[in-house]
Amino acid sequence: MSASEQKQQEQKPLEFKIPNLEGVEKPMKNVTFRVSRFDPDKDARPYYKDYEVPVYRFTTILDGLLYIKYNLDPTLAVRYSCRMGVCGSCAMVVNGRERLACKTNVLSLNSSIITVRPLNNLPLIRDIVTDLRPFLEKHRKVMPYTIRDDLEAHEDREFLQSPAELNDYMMLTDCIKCGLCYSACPTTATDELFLGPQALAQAYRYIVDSRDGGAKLRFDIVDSPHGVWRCHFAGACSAACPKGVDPAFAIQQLKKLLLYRRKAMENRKPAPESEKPREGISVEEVVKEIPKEWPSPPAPK
Amino acid sequence: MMVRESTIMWIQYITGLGILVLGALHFASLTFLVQGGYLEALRYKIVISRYTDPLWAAALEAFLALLSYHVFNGFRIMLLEYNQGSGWSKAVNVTMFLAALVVFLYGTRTIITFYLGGVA
Amino acid sequence: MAMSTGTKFPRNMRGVLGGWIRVSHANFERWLYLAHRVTGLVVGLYLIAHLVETSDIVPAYLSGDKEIWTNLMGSLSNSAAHAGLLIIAAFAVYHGLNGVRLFLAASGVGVGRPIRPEWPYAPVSLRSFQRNLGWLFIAVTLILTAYAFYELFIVTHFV
Repeated sequence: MSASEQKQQEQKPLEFKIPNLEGVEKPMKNVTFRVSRFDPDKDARPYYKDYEVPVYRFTTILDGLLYIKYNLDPTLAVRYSCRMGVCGSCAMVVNGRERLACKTNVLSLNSSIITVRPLNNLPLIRDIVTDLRPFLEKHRKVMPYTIRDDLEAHEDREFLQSPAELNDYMMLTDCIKCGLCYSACPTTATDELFLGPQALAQAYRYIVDSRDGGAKLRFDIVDSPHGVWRCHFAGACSAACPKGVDPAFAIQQLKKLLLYRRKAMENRKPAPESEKPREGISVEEVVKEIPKEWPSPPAPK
Repeated sequence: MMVRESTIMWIQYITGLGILVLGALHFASLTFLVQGGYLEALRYKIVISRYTDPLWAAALEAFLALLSYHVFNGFRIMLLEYNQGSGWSKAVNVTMFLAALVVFLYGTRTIITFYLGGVA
Repeated sequence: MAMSTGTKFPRNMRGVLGGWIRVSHANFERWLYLAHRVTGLVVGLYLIAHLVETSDIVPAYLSGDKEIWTNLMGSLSNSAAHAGLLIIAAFAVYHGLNGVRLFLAASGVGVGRPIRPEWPYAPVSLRSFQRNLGWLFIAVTLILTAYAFYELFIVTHFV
């Protein structure tokens, strides 16, 4: 080894000073988690159960619930996945407001009792886990995919869209389907057939997407007695959204399209295709590899 | 015959605007347009002059028409949100439509009675 | 799906009391929505009552009793009836003005433009002009209610 490398090895390790260690190495206090419990086989209706949870400075609601599950009560059912606010699994109602459990700091709630309830307006499976199927079925109803007659004919090239056209709907693509908006909406509280803020916002996202030609189909779905018009702009959906998607904005714009621009949107020609085909492997080559029939499983012995 | 919900709501918005204007007129005719304010405005003489004058009677009739539509469509919206099910929805739609009609005809009878038979 | 087909999970809908009326810790527009519902319901029911009140005397009027109107107005010339009318006036003004705000929002006015959300992900429609309009209309409602109070109480007693 040369002399300069030896010198580098003798360097002191970096000094790293954290200015405030309060609540980082030791818990700051104990907080009561009042969790809604419900076992469909045993209980007639949900009830609250209290747990003492030690809380550090950066403990989130999800950390608290997992602490309960690991140390106090393993029967607690909790849905979670990424624990960083991108999957939307841990959506629940904490202290009366819809939040993602992994993104809510316990100490920021300024309360010694944290009430955890499942999402509103969705069937309750167990404890704080709800059935998201009604929510997802309504999303499916608005056909959340690009619709145009020449989709298959132009598989090998992109459709042209300007940055301005992209900006019109980009905000709405951030939706993580967590269900917080659906839970917060006052209309979904009584109207089972209401499509819900998420489905309506996604309907708008696809209608206004310049590459899409399915405006008429979607207009007929949202312009119904339990569609767009049962929204009264309470804005609770946008207030609850953890990603700033602003479904209330989308729904008001959708109403505007229905009132003033219906014909124009239905007759709008979708975005033209690019002249250059996609670079790289061609569609024909990929399609050739796909077997016409999936191989059948091996016969049982 | 299916009326689109957007048409129903479009008329709801327009009647709402009309009600704002005519409502202000109704309030005005009962307060500052009359010498002596609210108490004088309720005297029989003043009231009957409103009913027998064609313009005022027309305004009242229009006010009633707009209100019948707007109020009962509003009730219909709240009731449709409250409960679902084909029986309930159909019953609500029919009942609110009939109620609007009844209310409109009932009020029109009054206006016409006083328009034709009002004695100063 | 692994769930049995016979499983029926409890509906868990919040209903009117837990849904329409649940406004504590809620955003401004949700309060305005609740007020719009309540004022609309009350004024709508008042319309029916008002029509019945003024139309009920028609048969008596037609059969010759020309004093019936004056008698009816006399029986309604008390403070309680005037207070009731004041409330109806305030409710009607609020409902109308908030209705204008809702119509503008449904026409795309005052709800802002699409943005690229950045932390803390505040929604654009809840910090746009429609919120200022909401506050403005509440102020106008209070002013016009004060004016109605003037007309219904001050003018009737002191002019």
